[in-house]
Amino acid sequence: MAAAPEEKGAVNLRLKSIALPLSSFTLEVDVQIRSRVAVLFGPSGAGKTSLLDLIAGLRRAQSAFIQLEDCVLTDTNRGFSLPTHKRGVGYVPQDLALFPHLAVRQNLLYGCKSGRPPDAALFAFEHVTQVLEIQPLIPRRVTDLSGGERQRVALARALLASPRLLLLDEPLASLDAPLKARIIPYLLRIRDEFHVPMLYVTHDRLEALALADEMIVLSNGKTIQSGPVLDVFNRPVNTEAAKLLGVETLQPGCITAVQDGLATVQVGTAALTAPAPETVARDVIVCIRGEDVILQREATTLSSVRNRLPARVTAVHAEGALMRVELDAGFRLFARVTRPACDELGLCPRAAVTAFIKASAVHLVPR
Amino acid sequence: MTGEDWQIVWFTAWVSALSTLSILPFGLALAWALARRDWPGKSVVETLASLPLVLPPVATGLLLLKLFGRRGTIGGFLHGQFDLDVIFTWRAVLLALGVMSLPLLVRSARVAFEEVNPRYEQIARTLGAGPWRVFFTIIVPLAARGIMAGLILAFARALGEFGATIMVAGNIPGRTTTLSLAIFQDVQLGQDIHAFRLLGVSVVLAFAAVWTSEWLLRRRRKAP
Repeated sequence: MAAAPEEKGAVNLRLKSIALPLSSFTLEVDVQIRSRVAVLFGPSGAGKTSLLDLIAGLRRAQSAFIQLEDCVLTDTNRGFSLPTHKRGVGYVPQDLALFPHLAVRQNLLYGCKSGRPPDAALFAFEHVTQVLEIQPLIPRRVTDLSGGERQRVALARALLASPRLLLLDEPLASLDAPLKARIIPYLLRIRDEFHVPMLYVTHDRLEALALADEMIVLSNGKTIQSGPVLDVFNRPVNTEAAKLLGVETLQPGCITAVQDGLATVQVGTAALTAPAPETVARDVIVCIRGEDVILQREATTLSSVRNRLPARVTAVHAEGALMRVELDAGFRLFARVTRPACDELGLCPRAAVTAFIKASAVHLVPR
Repeated sequence: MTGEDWQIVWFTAWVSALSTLSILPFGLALAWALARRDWPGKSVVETLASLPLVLPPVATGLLLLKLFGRRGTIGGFLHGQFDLDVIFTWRAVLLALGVMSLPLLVRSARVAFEEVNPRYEQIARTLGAGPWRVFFTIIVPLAARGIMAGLILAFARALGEFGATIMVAGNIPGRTTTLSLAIFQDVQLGQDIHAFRLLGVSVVLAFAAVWTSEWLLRRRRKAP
């Protein structure tokens, strides 16, 4: 396979003919990952953690070929498996596994001392602790840290071992939503400052959207879809994927103006009004839930609804009691309506409608 | 207390400490192998390692006597190759104490190793630490309390050992007599006062051992 010109910090990870029998299914994966941040997305128990364990060499597969850049990590055909401590693969597990008997400083330095000369370390101690803002925590004990602090210490510890790839297993799962939003920028900093490629496991859509370049959807041990993150969210390959991803409108957009806390976003050929995100950003992903889109045959003149978009129906799918209506409103928009409403409005392909979306229902995720 | 008494106390204390120290590396390795590895014959070794706890100490002693006597497999080899005699010397005391106290160390350490979350070892490995470094910097410190408890139990067992010792080492004054053997002999000979004096010393030794271990554990708990 010819090497494509790569972005800085992009990984080339080959997972070929992986087979690992788990309790209720067999994990079977065959993908090539070439991006800065790849998200492994799927419900709990889909085999995501097992896959990370295989890459880190903590588990043995029935069959596997794993190659990171030009270094073969595992090749069961040749009976070869590089020991974990020689792989250069960092791992932040779900429970973080900060060593409870060591202080924060010793935890951070644990990976620095494995016989490598200090100047061979990819990242300086000062730099990492500064970027992750953990300098004040260094003299503390691990047991005295809060959830978000533990998270950053675990990330720093993994980085300081100079990994060639960072495996993150639902690192934010134990945090509440506001704390999550505060940690995500640190992950983006790791990506942009240190150029360490990441393989990130999550079942949270917002985390995936905020971080991923590439996404692999895993269900019951099988890859059901992979590709650029927005492609995957917008074009689920089948109903299983659609259900897992919770199909809704996700479109790249561009903030053109912000006034009184409201942003004007250009999406495709349409302009939407939405509450401005807290962080300053130009490029965003526009998220609209299908339930929040109201369809009407004729436009009313006055309404409190900010976003009124002339649209054309492109497809209608039955989804249980609801109908999923695909629209072209200058961009691809999904609406979810009841079956009687659908019949009453006579929604069928090519029907013209007006889509109403309250500004507060338009969610912007900065990129 | 006569000079001879002090000799007995001193001999008992150091031979017990030495036996505890000498079973430490092997005991920890065995405990770790039992806790974390699966290997053929594991259950047999597991049973063998606990046998001295269940067998009458005198029976264990007899077994050792047969193995380490000049006509025994191991004893014959040692005598032939190194001109080394074990039976009825201080080495026999060391051997008896070690064998009798090993199961206590292995059991405690094994439980302690099993309680260490394997995730810590795995993550230490992803941070570039090889097996030895993981063992000494992660597993042993996290299991320290259980290992310490095992060592104290083993030391206490060694201090009080009687049956196996008398079988393999006899009771040779000034050479293999330990506190337990001396107390027994004194009572046999009707020298009760002397026996009580040695009893007092035993109490002090035991107290010091247990108190030291408690102190060490408390200090560990306070350290970060």
